Amino acid sequence: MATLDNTDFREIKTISRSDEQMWSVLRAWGLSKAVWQAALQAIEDWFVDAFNVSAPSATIKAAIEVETGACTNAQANQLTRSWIRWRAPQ
Amino acid sequence: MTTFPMSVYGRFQPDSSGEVYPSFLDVELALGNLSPGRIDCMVMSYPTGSDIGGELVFTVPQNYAGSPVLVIKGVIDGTPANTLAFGCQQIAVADSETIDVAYEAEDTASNSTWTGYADEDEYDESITITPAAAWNPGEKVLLYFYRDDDVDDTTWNFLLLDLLIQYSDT
Repeated sequence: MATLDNTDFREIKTISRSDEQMWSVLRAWGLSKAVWQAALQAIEDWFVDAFNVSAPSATIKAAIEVETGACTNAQANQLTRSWIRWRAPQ
Repeated sequence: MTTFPMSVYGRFQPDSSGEVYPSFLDVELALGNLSPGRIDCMVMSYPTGSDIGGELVFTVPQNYAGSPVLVIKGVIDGTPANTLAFGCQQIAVADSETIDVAYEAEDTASNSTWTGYADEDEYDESITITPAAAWNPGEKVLLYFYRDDDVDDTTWNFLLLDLLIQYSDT
């Protein structure tokens, strides 16, 4: 499990801006930078926990909502996509 | 004595971060009315770990008397929320003085009250500049302008349309 740093967040930001769907959601969401970063860290942590023997304690969306408060499926989806594109670049 | 605005936007050069870059409003925004919308702007991404911006140089006009203010004009590219923060540092250089000189301490301005603002609204901000010594007409002023990472906690871009030095004339 990695602790995301500013270099990682900049890369994810660039990825988000390059994708119309991701950017449309992120720019409209109104998250603070700290909450956005915490939500991405929550996604990172959730995926690492998913490979443990025990199941992760929550869904991806629930893990995101711990940081952001209630969010839509589209918001959770696009935020997760931005993390996936960063973790597994084509 | 009147307040005189002088645009310096044409001299603004982005830094090497790659996070400040020239674009057009019809590229950055989903315009429905402004058409064609090919209005140039400078995209200032939200900072993530370091200040992002650019530099410019201008000559202090002959009618300059004082009270310099950096006026920032641009467009909100997202849901306006959290704190938008800017900073600037400057140094005046006179004839026979070295150009290789450090900027003075920063002057800053920020806003976190967005009542009446919406996505794609024009937004103005002002930074009162406090040079250590008064600028003199004819001097070159080097200025570094940026989104202030220490304070700015937005997750939306700011599309810079103009930068002006506002001052009191003689």
